[in-house]
Amino acid sequence: MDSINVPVPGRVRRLAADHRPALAAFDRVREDHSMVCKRFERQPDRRALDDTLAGTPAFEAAAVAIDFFTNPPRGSAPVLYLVVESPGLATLHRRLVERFGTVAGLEGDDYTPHVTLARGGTVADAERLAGPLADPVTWTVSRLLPWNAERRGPERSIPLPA
Amino acid sequence: MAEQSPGVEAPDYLRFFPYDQPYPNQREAMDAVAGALTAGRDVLLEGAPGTGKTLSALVPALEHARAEDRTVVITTNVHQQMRQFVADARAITREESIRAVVFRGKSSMCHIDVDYRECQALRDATRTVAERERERDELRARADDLLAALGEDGGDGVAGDDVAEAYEAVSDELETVEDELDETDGENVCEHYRENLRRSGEAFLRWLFDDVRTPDDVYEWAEREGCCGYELLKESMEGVDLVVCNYHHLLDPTIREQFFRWLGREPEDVVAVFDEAHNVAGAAREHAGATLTEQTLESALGELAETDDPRADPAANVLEAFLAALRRTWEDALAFGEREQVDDDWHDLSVANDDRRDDLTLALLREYEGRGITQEAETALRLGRALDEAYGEAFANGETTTRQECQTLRAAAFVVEWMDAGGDPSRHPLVAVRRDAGTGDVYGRAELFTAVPREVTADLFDRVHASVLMSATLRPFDVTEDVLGLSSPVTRSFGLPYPPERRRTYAVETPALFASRREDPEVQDAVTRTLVDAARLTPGNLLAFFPSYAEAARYHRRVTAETDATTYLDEPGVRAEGLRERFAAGDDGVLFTSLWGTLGEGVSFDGDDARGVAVVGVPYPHLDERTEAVQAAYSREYGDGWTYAVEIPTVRKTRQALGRVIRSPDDFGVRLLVDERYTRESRNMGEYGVRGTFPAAERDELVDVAPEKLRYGLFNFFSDLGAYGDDPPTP
Repeated sequence: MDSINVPVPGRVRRLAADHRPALAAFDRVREDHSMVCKRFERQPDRRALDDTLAGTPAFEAAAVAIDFFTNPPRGSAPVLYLVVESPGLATLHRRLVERFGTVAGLEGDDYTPHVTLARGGTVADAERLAGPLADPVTWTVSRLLPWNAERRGPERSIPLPA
Repeated sequence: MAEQSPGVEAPDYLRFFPYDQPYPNQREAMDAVAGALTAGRDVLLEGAPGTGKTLSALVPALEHARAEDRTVVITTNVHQQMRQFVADARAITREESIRAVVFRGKSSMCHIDVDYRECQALRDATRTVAERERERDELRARADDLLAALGEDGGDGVAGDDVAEAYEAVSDELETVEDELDETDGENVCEHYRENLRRSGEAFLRWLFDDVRTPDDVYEWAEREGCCGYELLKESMEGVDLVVCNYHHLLDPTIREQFFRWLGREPEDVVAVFDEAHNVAGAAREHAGATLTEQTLESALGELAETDDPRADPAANVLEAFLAALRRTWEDALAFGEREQVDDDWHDLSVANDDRRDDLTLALLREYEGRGITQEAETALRLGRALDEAYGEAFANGETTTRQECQTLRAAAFVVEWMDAGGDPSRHPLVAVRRDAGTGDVYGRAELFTAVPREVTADLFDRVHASVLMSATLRPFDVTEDVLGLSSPVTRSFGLPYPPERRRTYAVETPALFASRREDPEVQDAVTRTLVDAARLTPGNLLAFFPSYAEAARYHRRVTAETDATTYLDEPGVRAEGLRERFAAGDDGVLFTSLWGTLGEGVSFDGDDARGVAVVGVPYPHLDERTEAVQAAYSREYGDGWTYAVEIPTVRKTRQALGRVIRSPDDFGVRLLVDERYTRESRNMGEYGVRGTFPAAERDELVDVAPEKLRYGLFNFFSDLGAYGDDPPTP
């Protein structure tokens, strides 16, 4: 499964690190924090992707709260995550869906930009951590990373504005 | 000699106590250790620095060893501490004579700088030559005697015929031995070891046990006499009362077996004493791992290319596949642009997977074609052993001038171990890369990291008669017990025995220095103001520890701008000792350093070297994959990986730092924990508070204080002690 990812700044990673004492209650704690903008069944054609991305401006994103999914389409639940607010990211997601379609069973109309922190604990643990952040982290997204799932790494880096 | 209190019978062990009178704590600790040793039980002993832990363990252990014919082995991994042991042992031997050996690794004691394999081969060859020389000398002496007898006889008696016959036989034999010696003339021998064999060891023994000698003393003695001090020392260890050495002599499973042989003791006749024992877990982990670099693999392949043995083909096949898989794995694991950042330090890459074998094994399975990885690796291992033996013989016979090391043996042994470790959750697979400083090439290394030290230490603790582990920070005892694999040890802890009014420990309610809030101006201002106040109101030096060097540098910059005090910054890669000395020599300084640097433990700041110590933030270590592996393993073993693997070691580190000041009864000073996570209020912070991880007695000493009130607290504390002299600051 390939995807277009949005890199997460060090401040968000540090925010995740600060929650480590509480995240210890979950089965798996994520180390590589990143945010998915759009998934693909297989790597999209490079030119088609570049065409779609053309004109995309740099945009703002803000991690504002902690929330959790109880019913993820795959893997263990609950999924504890940072809620990211970003109208720019939502617009970009919609544009990519229009051009490349959705991945059945994984993507629907309800795209929730998020950074996964941990998964596989009890709902009670997740509820205890959920809530708005005292200090939201705001950053500017200035590049996109087309992600190669097999290699577990980015294919290249696309600077924004594209 | 210890004085006897009236009406109380002094225990036998006090004959080894070298000073007037033990502290009351010390006496209690010695009783506990003596009782435990009699019962063959292990002891965990926690005591603040300067409370005489070493003697508390050593004195009853020596008494036990003397009574039961055992040997006491006392070890540390802190160099400073080694010197303290020597000083204690010297004091003891002046009261009650003991035979003590201070042991150090061969590499630092060799007079001709060869490695251990070469040394072993040289010694074998030297022994053979020395034996023949002795034979030759004996034969020459007999020949001379016979010749003299022949001369007296005049050559005409019956007896003369017998003597002549005997002379002939002896000179025939002599000729053979001399021929053999000529033949072996080109062989490699070690002249220092040869000298050892020529003399009886008595002079050395007399000198050695006349006092407690350091390895440096032994080296100098041997250099003067043209001997090998290391071998003399090794041979002198049999049945001694006390050995002082480094951790690795006991923790490295291979060295440990040899070490017990040199002692001439079965493990059950050894009493092991570990100092700074909070470090045993980490040190044991280092000894338990195994690594293999691309360079070793390449050397092994080169070696195999020149080998005629039919096993060389399958051996090369499997090692080639492993090498290719290793390269492929790190190339894939390096993220975009990461390769350019690799420098000459090893850089860990993640290869483990939750749901399947690690990436290196998967790559190996793809690369490999042949009759079976395990089968061929074992063939390679057998061939490696045969080659290694041949190298040993060639060197002993003088065919080679150095003892060649068999790279095939090393590589094959690792591959076999790697394949065996598959699915063993306690052996965590890692791949690392570094850049060769010479060629600029990036190359890789595979590693099996052992996360649970118990797997190495439990066997040791099981087999020795008993062990005493001491440190200023061992609690919680049940965690230490679990992690190291001790079974129901006797536990004792002793707080600071000094007058409590001469110290004050504050938990300052500054906002938590969470990593994500490091840039937050509100947090930075609060921490800076606290440190500026502390510097101004501390009549003397203040030592400030931070979670990292970067944070130390940040607050060094900020505080320097706002204080009259002299500020010092400890930086990574720069030796801290000079800085420490300059700081200690001054009287109004603030030293900024990382808690994970070299000044956090083992270095003391006595008396007016420092009047205050501050730990800023909760200094969790950088959570790398090794810490993660330890955490995951502890979660499996004990159910709570975070607490065992991260929180407890972090609080121990903090407590070690607090222990840097107040080292004697007349010492006084303040200790500051600057972060709200240390305060009573932190109970409301759930898992984020760390106050509960401190032992109860230390927790009770923590006084919560608001940042703006700290200066009044400091002022009152130091005023009451009359520490300001004539010119007190205004709070």
